[in-house]
Amino acid sequence: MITATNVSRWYGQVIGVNDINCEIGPGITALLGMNGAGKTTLIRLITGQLRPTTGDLRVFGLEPFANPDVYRRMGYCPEIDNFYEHYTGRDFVRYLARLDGMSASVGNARTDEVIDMVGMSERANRKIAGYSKGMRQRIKLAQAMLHNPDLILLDEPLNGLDPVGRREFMDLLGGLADQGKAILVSSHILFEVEQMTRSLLLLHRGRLLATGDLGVIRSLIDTHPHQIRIETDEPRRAAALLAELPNIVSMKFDRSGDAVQLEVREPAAFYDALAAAVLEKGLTIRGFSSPDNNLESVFKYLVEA
Amino acid sequence: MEGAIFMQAVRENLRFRRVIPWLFLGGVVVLGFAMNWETFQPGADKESQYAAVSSIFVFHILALISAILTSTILNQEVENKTIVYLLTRPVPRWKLLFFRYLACSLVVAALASINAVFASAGVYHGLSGNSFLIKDIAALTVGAFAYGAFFMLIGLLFNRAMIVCLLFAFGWETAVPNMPGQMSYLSINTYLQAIAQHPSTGSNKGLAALSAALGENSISTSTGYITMIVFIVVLVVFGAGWFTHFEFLPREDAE
Amino acid sequence: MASPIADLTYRNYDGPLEPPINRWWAIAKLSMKLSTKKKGFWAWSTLSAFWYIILLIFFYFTETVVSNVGAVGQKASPINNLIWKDQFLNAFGESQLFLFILALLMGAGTIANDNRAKALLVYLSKPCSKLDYVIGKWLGIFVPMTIVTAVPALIFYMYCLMSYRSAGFWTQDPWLIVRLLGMILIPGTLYSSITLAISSMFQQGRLAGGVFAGVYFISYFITLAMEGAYVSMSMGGSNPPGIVKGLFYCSVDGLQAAMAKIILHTNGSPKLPIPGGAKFQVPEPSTFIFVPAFFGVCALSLLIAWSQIRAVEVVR
Repeated sequence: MITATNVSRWYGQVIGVNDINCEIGPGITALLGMNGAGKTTLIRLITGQLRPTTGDLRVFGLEPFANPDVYRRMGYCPEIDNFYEHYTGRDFVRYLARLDGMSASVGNARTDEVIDMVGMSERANRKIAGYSKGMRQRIKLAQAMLHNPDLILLDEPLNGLDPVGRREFMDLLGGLADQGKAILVSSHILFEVEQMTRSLLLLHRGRLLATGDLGVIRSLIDTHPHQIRIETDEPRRAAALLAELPNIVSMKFDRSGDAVQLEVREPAAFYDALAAAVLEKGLTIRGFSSPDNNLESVFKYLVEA
Repeated sequence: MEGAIFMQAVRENLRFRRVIPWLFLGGVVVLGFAMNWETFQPGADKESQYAAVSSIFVFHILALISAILTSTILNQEVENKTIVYLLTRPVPRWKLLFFRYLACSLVVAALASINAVFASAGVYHGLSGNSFLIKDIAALTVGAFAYGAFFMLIGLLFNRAMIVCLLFAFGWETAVPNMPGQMSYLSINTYLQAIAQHPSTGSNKGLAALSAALGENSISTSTGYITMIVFIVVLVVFGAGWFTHFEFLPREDAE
Repeated sequence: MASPIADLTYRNYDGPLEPPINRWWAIAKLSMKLSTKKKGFWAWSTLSAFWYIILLIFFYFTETVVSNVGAVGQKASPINNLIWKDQFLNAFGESQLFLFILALLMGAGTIANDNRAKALLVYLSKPCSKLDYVIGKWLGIFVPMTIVTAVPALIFYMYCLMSYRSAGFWTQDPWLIVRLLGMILIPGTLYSSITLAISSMFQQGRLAGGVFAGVYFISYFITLAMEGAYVSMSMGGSNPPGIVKGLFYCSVDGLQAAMAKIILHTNGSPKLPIPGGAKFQVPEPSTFIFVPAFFGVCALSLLIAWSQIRAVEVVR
């Protein structure tokens, strides 16, 4: 749905994004990066608010800048917290429904529908000026989903939502992704992004550091062996058995004495060997986890590199 | 879709808080001066009195209303950052601009015309007997569209458009029509006065200067209309082209 | 002995705390800093002194002509016939539009932008009172505007004092410097009060500026219309009625002209002593009406600003 080829965007002498190459298809994709990494610039390029300085960006095979054909199939929830404050939430969404080309009656019905989807039915007739941050966020989400778009771009959509709202919102996005829609979510909240998707696009200082599945990316980070923590009643025996494996880099015992922490290369091969050790050597394991096989660690390793 | 853009812009411009200052201005200042203008221009007939009040107050208020309300077409959206919602909708940008411009200009014309009615009612102590009122309303409507087109373009080109617009409305538009030679042809007000065809303010040079009637103005009504229509079309087409082609991002600074 | 590992834990600010008097000054300084960073500030400030420059050019050419004509002509030099305080009054009048633009530039957004950015909540959550805020904002406009008014006036005064004592500069009014010091406070006082009031009523500097400009220009046209009527009636040999004289001063510009005439104690005279120049000047207004009116407008403006500035966001 989105194809970027050598896309760069300069603001005078400052570079916003630098030589971005990527493809984004159906499903949820997380756009990650620190402040100033170029996330918003990339979203503005995709939503056709900006033109690339160099390179080629296509959305549904079309140039997005000021292109109504693209906007017909795209929904955008911006990061900004600005509205027509004197409007009610319902009027705001209804107005945008009309701009989406819906007739008054269809617009009204669809407005009610999306307002209900974001859980704002009870409060939609109040003026936006009196809305809390979370309510504003919900109204922004509602307007992004109005015209049932194939592609939805969400810039920091979880900001201001309470935990229940976040959960509901993530479920909603999951449902939309299951319908085959492409959803690009920019966020700083790695833990929650991780619950939404394993597919990511990582920007750093305007450059695309990584793109693809989190697990695949993690396995490719050789400079940081995977950390695995095995909880067992006989940690020293476990260590002796596992030390024979060629892909163990280091091991240490927990202070509590009931776990061993390993640094491992080729984790898939290690897990096979671990299974064999459990079955053949009678090793008892109460549990194991991989503390750095998560988005935060991947993010940290890539950015630090 | 076009109707929605237009109606939203009309509603936005007709908000009570927006309209009330202009009605107050008309109902108090214009009406007050119109009712008592004979004190300031003794011996002048009703037509001259109305012409003076209309030229000095109504036409200048038109420029002021236009300078302020035209900024709602685009600058307010950019400043409030709400432009993002509009630019990412399946609406061609030129339509967005054009219908907002249309709505805004009509509201400006209506407010200015109400001021003209106040002026007429003040001078003639009623709504009948003023043969200039219809011509004035026509001139004010054309003026609303002409100023609107010009200020809209200024808004597209400059960040601090309001100051430029106000300087144009009260500096350029007051001084240039009074300049000798053909400089007066460079002012919108000259053409509006040609459409309105107000009678002379007599020998009173001070009032003539304020009425933008010192300079050479031998333009006929039809020339005034044609020039203004060409002016409006050129500026609106240019503005729409500019808006379609260039990026309009919310300003991040808080001034 | 200090640990070799630095203590990077969070600590509260334990540096010197400025006395409370400096809180409003901090706000004023910030406002002034923002204003003086704008190129427009310097451009309009320079332009506001243009009449003094025209006067200097006029004096230079007059003197050059006089020295060429010789001693006979010297007695006829128009400089000898000048009413000196009126030159300051005229320069003050000519600077009005530029000072208004400066006020627009500095003042329109002064509170409106804080409203929009919800910065008032931040200001007033500090140990900074509403009074500190209002005084700070007021001074942030008053100080630069007064300096802009004062600098060319005082330079011109010094120049005239050194060059034209023989032309009556000192003898006409030895107290002129005191009157001038009073006059240069007028624009700063009025503009800072009015802009503060208007700015406090809006959330956008642009709208506040538009309304301020509307008030200025519409009232200015009243002044111009009354001037036209006054001159026309005077030329026709009739005595203009009091309402014409009164309404002439009923504008942002007119009120300042009234105060300047009252302080300088003059009716004014033609801008340049050129034959054919405008002869009719609207006379000095009543002190008892316009001095209270001036301070009344300032007080009312500050009252409006005071009532509009709130520590909490009010949803209407």
